[in-house]
This record gives sequence, structure tokens and C-alpha cells, in this order.
Amino acid sequence: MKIHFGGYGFQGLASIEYLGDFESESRMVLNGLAGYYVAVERAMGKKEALYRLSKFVDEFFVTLEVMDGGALSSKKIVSGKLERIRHCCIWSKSNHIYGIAARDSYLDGIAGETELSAEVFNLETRKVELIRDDMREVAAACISIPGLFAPYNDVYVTTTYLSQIPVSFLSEGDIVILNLRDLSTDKPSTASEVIFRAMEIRSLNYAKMILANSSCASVRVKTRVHSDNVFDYLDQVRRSV
Amino acid sequence: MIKALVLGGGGAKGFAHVGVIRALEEKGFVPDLIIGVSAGALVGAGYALLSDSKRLWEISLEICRKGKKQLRFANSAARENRGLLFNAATCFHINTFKALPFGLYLNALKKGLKGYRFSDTRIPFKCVSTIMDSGELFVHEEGSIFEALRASMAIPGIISPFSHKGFSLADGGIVNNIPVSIAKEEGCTLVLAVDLSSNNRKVGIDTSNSILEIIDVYKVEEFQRKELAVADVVISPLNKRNIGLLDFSSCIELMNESYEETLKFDLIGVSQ
Repeated sequence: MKIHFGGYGFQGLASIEYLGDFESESRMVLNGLAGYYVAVERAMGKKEALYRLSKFVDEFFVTLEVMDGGALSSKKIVSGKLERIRHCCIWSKSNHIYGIAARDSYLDGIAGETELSAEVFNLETRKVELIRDDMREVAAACISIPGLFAPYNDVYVTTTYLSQIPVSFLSEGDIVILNLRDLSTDKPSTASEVIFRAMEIRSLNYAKMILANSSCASVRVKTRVHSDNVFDYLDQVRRSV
Repeated sequence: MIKALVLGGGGAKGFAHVGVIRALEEKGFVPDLIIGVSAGALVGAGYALLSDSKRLWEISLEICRKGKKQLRFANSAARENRGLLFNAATCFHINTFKALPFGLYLNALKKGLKGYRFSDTRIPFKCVSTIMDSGELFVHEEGSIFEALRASMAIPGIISPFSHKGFSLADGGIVNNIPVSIAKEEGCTLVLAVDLSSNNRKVGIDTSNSILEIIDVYKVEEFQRKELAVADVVISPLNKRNIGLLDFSSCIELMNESYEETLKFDLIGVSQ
């Protein structure tokens, strides 16, 4: 039995509150920021994992917020649009915003063998694969978020853009943490938001298509985490730790 | 036997459907139901209203000739070699306005469809769009044909979504670019699907946008594979050749090419 654990963007973090139910579980398939948290937690403990995750969110917040898509709040109409234009220009000529050194600073001290695995999309073979055995590689693969860093080992990106949650390697008896984003919360109002929404719809439908053909159990995540409440959410997790 | 013709989306490649329909009719295949998505919905609606592939061909030729002049904007947007200034302008545009200025073309479409309704079609017709708030498919089968096409053809980032019956609707191809399963659900016993997808576009991984495109195309191909697996006959008249979504410069060639390709297709047992 494996646990499939992760999610897209800030919403991915909402999986963390369900981790307590699977503390003794070593066979997990991970993606995204929540996957990174699990890898660090298993290698270095909860406090360090939460510290690094909070630092990561803080350092890359502007880019992660643009990736989060959705309508801009009235307070951020101008600054938000300028950031989107800046990111859009970079993304049309480069495959990352931050260099490898920035990513690797979040991998310091993570080592050892593991039964955890990270679900990745191989951009060269156009296939979904698992990165496994080495804890550092698993952690690195989980934060290989397209647009944030260049692909890991030049070809791997985490599958949060593909299916939001890791569902490509489901087996009978597995448990899926069903942490999908909610489309009904805001309406796209610009062309870029509509394009993003279309991609998101495809990701959701892709995950649902795979889940419909599996016999896995699922745990539905109810908490909604987005750019406006992510720091409050992390504070809440910190208090519970 | 209840025969359905399913016409997939493909932007400018949609003109290929006109050639396929003409060849199919000449081979004796006339559908009992037409289902289209995006450009396939536009051509499908035309065929459903006319029930005459030669007339559809003539009208399409006329549109192609006019389009070469009037769709200059779209043709220029389809050019491959775009500079940084174009990218920056596009980024600014799509973050500021709802969509690209396609209002002129939509008004022409509205005028051309003259208030036709689904009940006016000579061959039963349906088309699909995507509900943007839920990601589900919306099947249009009654009311104004223009409104249904407006929704089904609302390509994200190019034509803004359309509000209809309380839903925000956009291109059906977001979810299902070749809705064979809808024809099966309608009880059709023979489903002929026309697939205009491409598979040879070389996309590098040197930009974040191209990485997202690779992942997005992977999802679309998976959806497509699932749909085509339940079709009884699949015609790919362009042999998966890549043609830009907005490249209207070769519509007449596409019509001729797809006509010739479909004539070669073995339809024994299908066209009775």
C-alpha cells in the first residue's frame, strides 16, 4: 500500500495536516511543496521541515503567487498585474526565475536512502516517472516546479501541473490524499487567467480520469490554502507541531 | 444503424472538415447526427443546416478567399518567428484585457448565421463547450446556434468565454477535443470521428511556457486517446501534420488535401 500525497501550489500545503495519520508510512508517492515537506521531515524532523518550508514560501512568494493564478484582490490590482507581466516576459524566454543555487540551498543536509518517491514528468521522453531511493533527489524533484527552477537533471519537473496530485502510479489498496483545487472560488477575468484556468481544468480532469479507473481509497482535503492565507496556514501548522 | 459524424477542434485546420464531409457524402456516408467542437462545431453546424456538402464547399471557399484578406490579424499572430517585443506586448495584452480583438470576426459569424436555431438544422446537430467554473462539458442541443458556436469556439486567450444559462462557457476542446463518447451516449451505433490533431510540433524545454505546453499537450493527447478508442472509424485527413491554430493562409489547400485523403479511405460497410 502506498500513500499518494501532494498538490498544486499553495493548495498543496493543505495535505500536511493529514500527514499525522500516516506518520509510520514509508511508502509514499509525493509531489510539490507538500512532498518536499515530507522528505525534509523524514530526513531532519518536523521543526526543520516546517522552518525550511516557511522560508521557501517566503523567499519565492511573489513567483508562487503568480503561479497560483486566479483573480487579483483589489489591494493588488496594479502590483499584481505588473508582477504577472514581468513573470510572463521571463517565462517566454527562460525556463526558470531562480538559479540552481537557490534551489540547492533548500537541499543542504538532506541525505540517506528512502522508500519515499517523487512523481515527475520527464520532458524528454514525455512520460511520468518516479524518482526514488535517494532522499535528496526526492526532495529536489518535488520542488522542481516549472517556472520557478530549471528542470531537475535538465528533464524532470514535478507533476503538479500535470495532475495536481500524484496519481500516475496508483495500485490497488493505495490511499490518495485528494487535494484538488476548487475552481468555483474565483472567476477568471483576463485572458491570462482564462488560459491558466483552461490548463487547470485539464489537470483536474486528467487526475479524475485516472482516479475513475482505480480502486483506491481517498481522503478528501477540505482546507483551502491560497496566496491570501498561506502564512496564516503555516502559522497554524507550526502551532500544532 | 445510427451514424454519427464527430468533428474535432483544430482552429484554422477546421477547414479540413469541409473536404472530409464532401468526400464522405460522395462515398454515400450521410450522418444521422453531427457532433462538433470548436472549429468542428462551426463546420458541423454549416453542414447540419445545409445538408449539402457541395454548397458547404462553395461557401467555405468564399470564406477562405475573404478570410485571406480579413483575417490578416490572425495570420500575423500565427507567424512562427516572434520577437521579444511581440512577447512583451502579448504578455501585457493578456494581463490587461479579456482577450484578443476577435469581435469583428464574431460579428461576421453572427450575421452569417442569421438567427438560426438548432431546430432549423436538416441533420440533427449538437456541439460542446467547457463550463469554466466546474471543468465539465456542456452539450448544446437547443436554442441559438450562434450562441452555441460562440461558446464552443471560445479558444482560451483568444476569444473570451461566453455567458450562457448562468455558466461561463469556453472552447469544448479544453476538456474534450473529439467528443466520441457523447455520440455513444446518444445511442449511435456507428461513430465516425474526424481527428485534426497534430503530433509533430517540435517544442523545446528552454522556456517555462514551452514546458507547460509540453505537459498540456500530453494531457490533451491522453484525453484524445481515450475518446478515439471508442470510435468505430477514425479519419485523420491531415496525417497529424502540424498547422498553426490561427494559420488561415492555407485553408483552401487543407480542404483539397482532406478531400483527396478521405476519398482514399475505405468506407465499405460504413456508408450504407
